[in-house]
Amino acid sequence: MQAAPADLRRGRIFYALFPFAAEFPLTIEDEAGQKLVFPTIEDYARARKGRATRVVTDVRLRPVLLLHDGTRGEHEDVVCLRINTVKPRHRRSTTTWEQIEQQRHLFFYYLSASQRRYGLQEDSLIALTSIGSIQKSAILGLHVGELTHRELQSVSERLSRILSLDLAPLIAERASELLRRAGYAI
Amino acid sequence: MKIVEVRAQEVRLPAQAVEALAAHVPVAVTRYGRRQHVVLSEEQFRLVAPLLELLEEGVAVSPELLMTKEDIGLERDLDRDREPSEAENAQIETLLAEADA
Repeated sequence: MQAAPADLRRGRIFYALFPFAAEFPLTIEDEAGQKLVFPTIEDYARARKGRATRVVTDVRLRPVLLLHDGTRGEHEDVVCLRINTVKPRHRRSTTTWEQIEQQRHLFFYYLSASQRRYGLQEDSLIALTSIGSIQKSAILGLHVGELTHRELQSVSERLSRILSLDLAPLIAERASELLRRAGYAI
Repeated sequence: MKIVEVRAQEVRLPAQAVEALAAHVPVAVTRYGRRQHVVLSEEQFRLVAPLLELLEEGVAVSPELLMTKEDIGLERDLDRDREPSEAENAQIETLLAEADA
């Protein structure tokens, strides 16, 4: 069963087919169905220019966090963050883990299995640089869990820093609007 | 950058911390297991001072500069994590069962 559009809301956690990033050497299938291997991006560019290419790559069905509502049928894709289940080897770096578990790490957001609202059976981790786009048809079933509004705000704050988003004009505009509503002319 | 200087006689560091600083190893001061302060050798501080100044001035600093090698290693490991856990597979089974119901 494919996810229902009304269920695709920002902050919800779904299982979806998330791709691994293509890397070189790259194996492709040309128009005749023949497999070709390109050692570098330059080799690929010389042969393929800007043509679309069928790439032999891996995907994995795994939890993802939706970053925007996908309720409009016209939009086929939704932007999301990949969620990884924490494995013992991930905890090896005590310094990094201390910050992660205390939710003080800029690049990782910790989802404890003890928080039932996440709907995840094991401790999990969002690498905030793992932003991806997935087709709605690649989302399995209903959402398994969700983040609170406050938690999403924390994710958004970290994303704005990691992506160096310049929010100053937006904040200034919002402040002007609030002052105008309060009767203070600017 | 404003720096508060105190004389060595006013600070009591354990021998292992003094040795560590002499070897340019940072010393973390913890309270109830949580890091409160980090003491660096003068040489190390000189290396990171320009970055601290930029952060203090609110200048946009490439976020990657704020990542340690351990952070980058963990990020790479997560990127390449191909093995589902048993719990993930069980949850997928549940979702399929719900879809079939």
